[in-house]
Amino acid sequence: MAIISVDNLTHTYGAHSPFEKHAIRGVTLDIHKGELLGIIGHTGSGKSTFIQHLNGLLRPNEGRVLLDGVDIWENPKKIRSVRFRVGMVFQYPEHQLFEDTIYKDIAFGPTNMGLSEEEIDRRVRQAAAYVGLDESLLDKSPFDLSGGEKRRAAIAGVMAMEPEVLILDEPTAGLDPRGREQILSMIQDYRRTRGTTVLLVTHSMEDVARVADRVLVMSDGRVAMLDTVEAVFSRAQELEAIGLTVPAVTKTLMLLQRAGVTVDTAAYTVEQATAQILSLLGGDGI
Amino acid sequence: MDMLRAIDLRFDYTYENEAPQVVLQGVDLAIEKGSFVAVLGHNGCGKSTLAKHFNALLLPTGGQVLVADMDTAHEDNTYPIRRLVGMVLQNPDNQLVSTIVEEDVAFGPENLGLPPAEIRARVDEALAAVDMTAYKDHSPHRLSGGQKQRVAIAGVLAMHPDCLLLDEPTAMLDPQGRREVLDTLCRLNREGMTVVLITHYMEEAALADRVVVMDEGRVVLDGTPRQVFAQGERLATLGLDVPQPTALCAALRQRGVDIPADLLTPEECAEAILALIQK
Repeated sequence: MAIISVDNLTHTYGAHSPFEKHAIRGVTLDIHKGELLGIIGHTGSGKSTFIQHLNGLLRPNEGRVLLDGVDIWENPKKIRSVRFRVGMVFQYPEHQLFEDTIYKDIAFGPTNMGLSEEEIDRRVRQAAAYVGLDESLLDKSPFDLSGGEKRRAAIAGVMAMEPEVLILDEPTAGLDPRGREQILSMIQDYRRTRGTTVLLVTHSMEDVARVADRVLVMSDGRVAMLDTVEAVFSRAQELEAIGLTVPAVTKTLMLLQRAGVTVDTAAYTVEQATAQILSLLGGDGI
Repeated sequence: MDMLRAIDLRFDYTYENEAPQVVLQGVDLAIEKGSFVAVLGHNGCGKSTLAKHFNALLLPTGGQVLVADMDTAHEDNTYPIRRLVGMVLQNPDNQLVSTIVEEDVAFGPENLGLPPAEIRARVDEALAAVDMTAYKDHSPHRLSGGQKQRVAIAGVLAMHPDCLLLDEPTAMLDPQGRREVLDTLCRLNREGMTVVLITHYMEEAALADRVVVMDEGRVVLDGTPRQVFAQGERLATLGLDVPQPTALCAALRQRGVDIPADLLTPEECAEAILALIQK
């Protein structure tokens, strides 16, 4: 079932000016309830513009965005409620922490929703637990936290609004391998526990391969591919042609295929590739 | 000859009323002129603090740092050192100062008080070196991340440094932008520039001549990329990865396949597997 349906969405920046740029050109797609959708595309492919339409930060020039079957712009005065239902975590969200304690920062969203104090407290503590922030950090100033902790606090602020759809724009950018791993497993746990639909915008094919159910590949403001991870990675040559890189193990299998070896290039993790190569070599190795 | 040298370098941050926070606890490292060194380590391991010592942005609280044999602790050396060692940071938006690309690149040489003809020549040369000549009249904020970062590198090149120090210059870039910046660095290094690259991307470190791994303010591994990445388990305990093809080889070796442990690229890995199949 679709939680968000996008119907012929078109967006042009600076229309009728010399700087006119068609950022989104007639995108139509459904986002399924509860799925984890990875969104990839190189800079300028339109992915940031696209996600900003999903919670009404941008208004389409043409086309519609339906949330649970209702056009989000049906009543423009109520667009705020859409932003509570579709939560957005921007790139480098830690730059947006502004309160004097982490608690107040996480509470900012729920407070704006007009919830009771007990409910706000419950949500703040639960969101902090989801992102793995210790309760003792809640009374600290954001300045006292490490970069990774700050980022998790910023994500908790959006989770505390308990959105039905959570959109994260490059949540692992600039983190070291351990930090990336923590954020990704946290997102997976959160989604498993709550059943929230998650959209993950990333440059990292490896991240997409690890966590996504389906992948949306954008190029030049259009949908280039929308399919399962396996199906998308099996089109590695097309991905490279639109400026994206495939995981290095997929690349290795592609090279073997080009040399005449029968392999399935849809493999994208080290484990999958290992299994394939072992079977090529005749079972349990040599 | 050593371009950069740290001798038992120690550094701690001291805040009022708090115990000093030790960041570097005895780093000994010599970086040869003309080499390409990648520095790896998880966040907080001290690698950025080390880099800041190499152009005298920070001064040691113990030990010594020499840049082309000049001691960073002597104030008279500060400016000559900063001209020799140019620094490029993570976020290109924080490093560009002008509204026109070529004016931005001219900022450094102008501050050196060079004659206009010399500035012109340096700007043209620096933009050509990063392949951005076609954009010299453009406005930096309309460029892609990779292009902006190359303009930032050009700004440093126009100072005619002997060494480039880059602190996660590709962290905010997409794969295309990362490739552009890395291609530029590899080319500059081939032409003789000493390059020190701090990065979280193992694939980038694999391009260097030498990989230095830091942990808790010390150098814990130091060798060629092959030597360092062959130690996958050790790297994992340090919170680091190996390139995917290396991980693939390690997994195969674990299952008894006789494949080298030090392969870094998909090309090498595919070739070794082909050789096994044909055997």
